[in-house]
Amino acid sequence: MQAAAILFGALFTVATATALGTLLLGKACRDWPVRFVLGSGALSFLVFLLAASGVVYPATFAILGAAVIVACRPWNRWRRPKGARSWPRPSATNILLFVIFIAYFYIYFLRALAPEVSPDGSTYHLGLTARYLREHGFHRITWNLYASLSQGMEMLFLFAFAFGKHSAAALVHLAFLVALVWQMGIWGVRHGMAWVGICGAALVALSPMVGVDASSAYNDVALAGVAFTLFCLLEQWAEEGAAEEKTTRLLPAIGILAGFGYALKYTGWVCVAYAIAFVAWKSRRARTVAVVAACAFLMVAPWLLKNWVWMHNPLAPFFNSYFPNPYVTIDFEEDYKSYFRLYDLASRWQIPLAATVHGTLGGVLGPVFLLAPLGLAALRKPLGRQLWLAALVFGANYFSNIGARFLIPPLPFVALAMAMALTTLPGMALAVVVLHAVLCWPAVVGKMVPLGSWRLTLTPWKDAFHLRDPERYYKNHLALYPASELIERVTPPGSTVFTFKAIPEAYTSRRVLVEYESAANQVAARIFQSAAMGTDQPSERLRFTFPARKLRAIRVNQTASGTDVWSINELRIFSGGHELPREAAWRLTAHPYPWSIQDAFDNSPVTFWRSGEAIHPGMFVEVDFGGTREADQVVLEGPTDQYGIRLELEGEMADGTWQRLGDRPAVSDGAPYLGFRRAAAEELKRRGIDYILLFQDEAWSENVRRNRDLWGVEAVGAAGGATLYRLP
Amino acid sequence: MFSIVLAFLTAGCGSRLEWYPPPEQRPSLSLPSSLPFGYFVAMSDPNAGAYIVGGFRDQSEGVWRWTHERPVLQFYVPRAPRLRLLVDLTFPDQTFAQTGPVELTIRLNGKEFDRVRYAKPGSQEYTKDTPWEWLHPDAVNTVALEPDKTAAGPDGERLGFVLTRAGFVE
Repeated sequence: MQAAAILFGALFTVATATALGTLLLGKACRDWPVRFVLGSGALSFLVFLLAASGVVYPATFAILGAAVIVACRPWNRWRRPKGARSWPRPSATNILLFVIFIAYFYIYFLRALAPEVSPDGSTYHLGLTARYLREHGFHRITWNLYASLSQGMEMLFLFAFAFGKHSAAALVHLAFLVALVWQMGIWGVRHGMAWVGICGAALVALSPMVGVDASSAYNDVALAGVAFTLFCLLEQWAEEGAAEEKTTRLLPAIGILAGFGYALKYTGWVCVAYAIAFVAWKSRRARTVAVVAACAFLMVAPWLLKNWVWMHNPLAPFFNSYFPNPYVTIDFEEDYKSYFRLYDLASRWQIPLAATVHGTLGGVLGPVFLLAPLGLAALRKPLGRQLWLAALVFGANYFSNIGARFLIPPLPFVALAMAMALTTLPGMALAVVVLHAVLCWPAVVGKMVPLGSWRLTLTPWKDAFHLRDPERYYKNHLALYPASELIERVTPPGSTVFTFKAIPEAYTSRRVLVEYESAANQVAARIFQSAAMGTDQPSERLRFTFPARKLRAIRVNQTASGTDVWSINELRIFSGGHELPREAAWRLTAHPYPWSIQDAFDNSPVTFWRSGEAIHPGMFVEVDFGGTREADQVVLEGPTDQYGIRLELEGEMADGTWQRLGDRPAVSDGAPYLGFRRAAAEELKRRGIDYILLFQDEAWSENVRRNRDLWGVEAVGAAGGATLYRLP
Repeated sequence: MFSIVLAFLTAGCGSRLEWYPPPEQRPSLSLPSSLPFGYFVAMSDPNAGAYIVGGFRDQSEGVWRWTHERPVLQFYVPRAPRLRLLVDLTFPDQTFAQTGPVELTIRLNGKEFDRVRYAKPGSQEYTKDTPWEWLHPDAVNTVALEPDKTAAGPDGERLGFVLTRAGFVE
């Protein structure tokens, strides 16, 4: 029964998308993969509108899908198009390739049909999808940076998920691989190089990275499908665009597809650039370019707008230095991007082997892709040059994240160029494809890559069709699933759980805050860690002492450059040995990151203001007294690990002039606070966190386990190496 | 619609200053400022002298202070679920060369609490759970840190060890 719901969800989504694509393209293009991919963009857009309107229900989707399919009248369109292209005649070679394709796609189908256990799919792709369905649309999510990424694929997942849950979403993604492979074949046939198309398609389809990605709720293969469809449509427009009807249909379709590339994944922005540049170059007409640009913008704009309104940054979670906001800090963004530029490699020269053989970049493309330079031989032909240009464009983002799956969008073009070169030698292309098929078989890949590398395993059909208890499958294939199950089992609905590890949120309805996924989560983590590990506790006092003055305001300037991030737990102002009470008339600010400055004035040592970016001159914290106050001392309480900061104190005199009051604060150590752990736990609770999930292998978990009385927490359950604590 | 327009107008304006009033004040984790001393002292604290009953040099040198033969500190120890005594101390190479291994006797409120033998020079952290039967809650408590050997310093001064910080922690 469950398998039937899954298959219905996936097929209904694919059918609705294909029908929409058919309506958009009319007679301009009859290839079903083009219609499916284009229609997916349109469906994704419509689902966005429904989600923004708060009407996400299975019934809404059922009505939408049925209406689109009926409007398409597929029963009138099943005729074989005139002039249908001829595919290679059956032969032993063709049958061998057919068997290879079928064998691999069967593996992929079973994997996609089985309970979804992919890392990103089970955490945020479907975690957010499930949330949108539960909440019947979008709600502002500031605690998870993945919610700010463009989610065109999640909109398709949402449509499928409403009927078939997690596995239906994965199957929709697999449909993009089928469409991609089919189109690569069609491309070869169209250019009189059927073998090139088929061999190129085989190189892509059998790649372990492509297979595991396509059969999971991801979006990389979908982006590859969009990129290749766009390439084909642009080629068709350039060849046939003179016909008025086709131009009318093709140009908007090209724009929609290009924009859908961005909507699928930020790195798909190159689709927009490629489409506009191509059309501008070929047509040299502003109106033609404007049609493409306008349709692309229509697809891009919702995601920009959503982020602009909710995150104060249209490109969230990136470009935070251009669009400062409270939700993602610049220092986090820099660290995040820095890691993905090199992962754990020592040099970029290690990428070719890591991505094709070793699997240390999150998966393996297959050793045969080490032969990719052979494809440069295709540069001798115009088609080969077009392929390489497209490969360069769609791979332009690669060095911002060198994960192997980020090579999937340019991979079809590289594969076709390789096939063009290989087919010039009799039998060579077939030999390479057969070798590829052998080397990419899951059992062989399992011996080639390290244990943690993401790869396919053979899925028993009983698991795939959900004929056995899925719980067992989850526990065997998804390491952190027990933690999600524990949360779902022991916490009441509406609870918020904080964790340092990204657990499979797709399997819990509770709000999960993962340490790195927002600035607020990182603050919560620092509060917790400062109590559990003693790090970042405000044990340092920086004391400015000066002759008593009547002041209207004080400002602490940071004047150094470096890598430290400036932090203040409490800023206290004294007169005659007594602290000035913080009056309602005071006004506080900071630059940068003013949003948490109140945390340096709340009398709590566990909370803090943090600059959120590496120190540089021009940073300051300022207090305006709203009148004059006499003061002779300013004390900053903070952590000891900000060695690079240099501070000076300025004061605004009664006459409005600013004077320097000191630039060499005396440094001393303060007493460790008693009750710090309890205060930290209470602060987390005050910030809306009800539970904290700790794993045995986390250094801080032991402190909580041993000192529950000092924390005031209660262990409410344990599973899979994790313990769930209820905060006081 | 108004909020969307407003968001557009205000988003991305990174250079503007945002001002906030002081927030609600949280209960203090510190002891009342009326007390002359607390439960823990770092020798870099300008108020460190208030904790010293005797047996120390008059002044700290940066973050540390020399002890003499019978250093005694006083602390106001508030009631807390659990406490442990923490002492960060150093036996410098120069004095250790004279004294050799040193045995430190720790007395809480005059009663011998522990003896520790230090066989090597250098920085040491002493910490031990301190049951309440050794302490007077919400009252002044004394901690004596008596080395069995001291070294001869300049002007005939007897030097024990260097104290960085001491007191009670959770």
